[in-house]
Amino acid sequence: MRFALIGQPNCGKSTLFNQVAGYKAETGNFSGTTITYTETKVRLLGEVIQLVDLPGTYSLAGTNPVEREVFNFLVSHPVDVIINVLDASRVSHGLELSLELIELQRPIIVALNMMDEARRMGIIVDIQSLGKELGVPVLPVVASRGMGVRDLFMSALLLTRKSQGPERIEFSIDIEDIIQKISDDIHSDVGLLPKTTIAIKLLENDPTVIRSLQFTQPELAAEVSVLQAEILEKRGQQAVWVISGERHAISTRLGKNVVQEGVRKITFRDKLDDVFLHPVFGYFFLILVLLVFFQFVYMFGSLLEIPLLNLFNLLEEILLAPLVEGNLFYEILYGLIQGISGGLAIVLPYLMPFLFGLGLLEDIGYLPRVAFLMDALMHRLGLHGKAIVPFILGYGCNVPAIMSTRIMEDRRDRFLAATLATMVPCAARLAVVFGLVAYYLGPNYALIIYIFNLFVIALTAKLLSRMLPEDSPGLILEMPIYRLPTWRNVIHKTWFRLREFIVEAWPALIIGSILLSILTFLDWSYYLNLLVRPISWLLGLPSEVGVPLIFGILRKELSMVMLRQALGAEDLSTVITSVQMITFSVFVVFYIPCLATLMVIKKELGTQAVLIISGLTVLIATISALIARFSASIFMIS
Amino acid sequence: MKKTDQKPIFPLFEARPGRLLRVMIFSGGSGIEHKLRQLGVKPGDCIELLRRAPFDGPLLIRVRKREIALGIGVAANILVEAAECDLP
Repeated sequence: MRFALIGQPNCGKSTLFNQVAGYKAETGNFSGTTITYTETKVRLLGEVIQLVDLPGTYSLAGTNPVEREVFNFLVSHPVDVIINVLDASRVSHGLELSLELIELQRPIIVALNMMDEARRMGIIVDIQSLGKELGVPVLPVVASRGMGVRDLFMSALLLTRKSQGPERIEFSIDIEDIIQKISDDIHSDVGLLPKTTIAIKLLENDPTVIRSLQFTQPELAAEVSVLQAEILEKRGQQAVWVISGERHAISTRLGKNVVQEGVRKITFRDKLDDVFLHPVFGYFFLILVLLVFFQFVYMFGSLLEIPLLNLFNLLEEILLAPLVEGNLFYEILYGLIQGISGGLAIVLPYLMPFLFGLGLLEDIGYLPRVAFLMDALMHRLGLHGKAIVPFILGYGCNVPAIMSTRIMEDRRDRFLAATLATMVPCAARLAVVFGLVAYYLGPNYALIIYIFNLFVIALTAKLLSRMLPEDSPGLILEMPIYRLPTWRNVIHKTWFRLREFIVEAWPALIIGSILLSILTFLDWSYYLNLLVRPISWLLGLPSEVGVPLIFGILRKELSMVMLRQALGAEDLSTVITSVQMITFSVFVVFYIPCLATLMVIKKELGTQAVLIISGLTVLIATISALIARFSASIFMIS
Repeated sequence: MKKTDQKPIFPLFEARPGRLLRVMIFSGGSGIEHKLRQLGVKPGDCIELLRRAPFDGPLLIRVRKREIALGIGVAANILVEAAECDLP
């Protein structure tokens, strides 16, 4: 048995999901896409129910790929009950989606959520009349506190005993006539849709339905466009707007009948934005919030990282001691330990607090405010305000940065933001810049590299956004009201995202690590150096940097550690010049992201993106390092 | 102002915060229009411009109990008139 949760963004749908979801909830991909949904098993009265949490959408005629998948899912998947989550404080607007769902004529139940919120705002919803008007059961819930959730699922389960869905609420008579005319001529199926829905969707120019019918019933297209022209002539508006207007009229009428609006009081929460979105203080608080966030992540991360690394070093000594160095088994074991410790001791300690903090900011509703404040700046780089989030996260670790590109709707924006995020020097690259440049040449040179890095990122953004022109004119983003975070929600979200790294990126990290160990065993370092020689020659670096650079793909700080090994000197200043140090560091900052990041890019954006980003970053790294090499030679006569 | 007077129509991004405005027409692609209508912004609706971000940043409007941030490019494509109307 399968239930699907559907609702508009910010209606508390995921909070409801997390109330019933266990830690074993699965994340799945919509077929052929990287768009994910979450699914969990719920046991009720001996029945096992598969509960699917579909992405939030304002309408089934979604305007972005994520929203489109909700309709596609309903077309192709049998769902026993649709649970439509409706925000009790904004009933009439939310009803527009409910009407669309009722049109599907499948068993549906409305969960009227945030009843507490509505009551505080003085809004009274007549639940019984709403149910009667819609012809579907309506149940009040407060998802954040788990109130009414059990009753909701019991009622949903009862609904499955009924085979018939609700009657749809009819539009004006002239439109109904046209819908009838089209549906009479429909003889082929479109997934699980009833004929009237197919007819409505054809009038709305829905791409999914049009694509499905263009081979089975190509003659329909002509008929539909004649009828669309008829509507345009009669109503003076395109059919798609007429239909959305019809739904709008019905939901406004229903809203008036069942909702008693309270007097809007200006509350403390309304005042918050006077500070957080203030032209001056807003930015001040943004910086403060980010500083606290970073402090938290670094504190938590280093608290775990150091003892964990010590533990692994100890483990390495104990396990490797009885073996002969240079032996194949020794190298494989070494690679295995490196891979496991890389994930457990270096990535996870930072990823955990990062994802937790991100989930917290998301739950409170602060992230859209960040987008609001940063939109102007990001716009000059050819991006939207939302792109600032991965960019900031990148300074800690690129892995959560790439994951966070999901908040962007457009694929082009996600790709651009992901590319730029990989160029942000993460904590591991900080180790290289500080261990090499700051240690030997002083912290000012490290600062110059960071500023140079920002400059290169801005330039890359400019160039890329010119090559990939924007297809949307800019930000359209709802500002949800501030809410207290629901811990259960935040912890679940953190765990789901963390698990994705553990299951998908970490094993690859371990395998890659073992492969590189085998290469070392085979003593291919000569060939590896030869492979990188064109670049190292161009940059005026010794050919021995090849191996450290290749191992750096595995884990960025390895470039630093292995440079000593490769050059055979403890004090690097005796073997390479200051100019070479700067050139090397700049190259390390920009070239190919680490393996864990590449794995996440592959998951989020596909293999093609991995190849493009790898190639592009090598190119950018080479050019930037060349610029660094020549400007350093001019300014530092060492 | 008398009702017979033709009120001037201007793009939303020229409006000052705190004003009530009536949405007259969307220009630009149907992509924006689609998204805006889904969020409840339609021609004829009354909206309130709440605030704007500095440096030609986005505008924050209130419509039908929702607060929506609109990038400057979007705001340039929404033509409005000054209105004395109730917020829906």
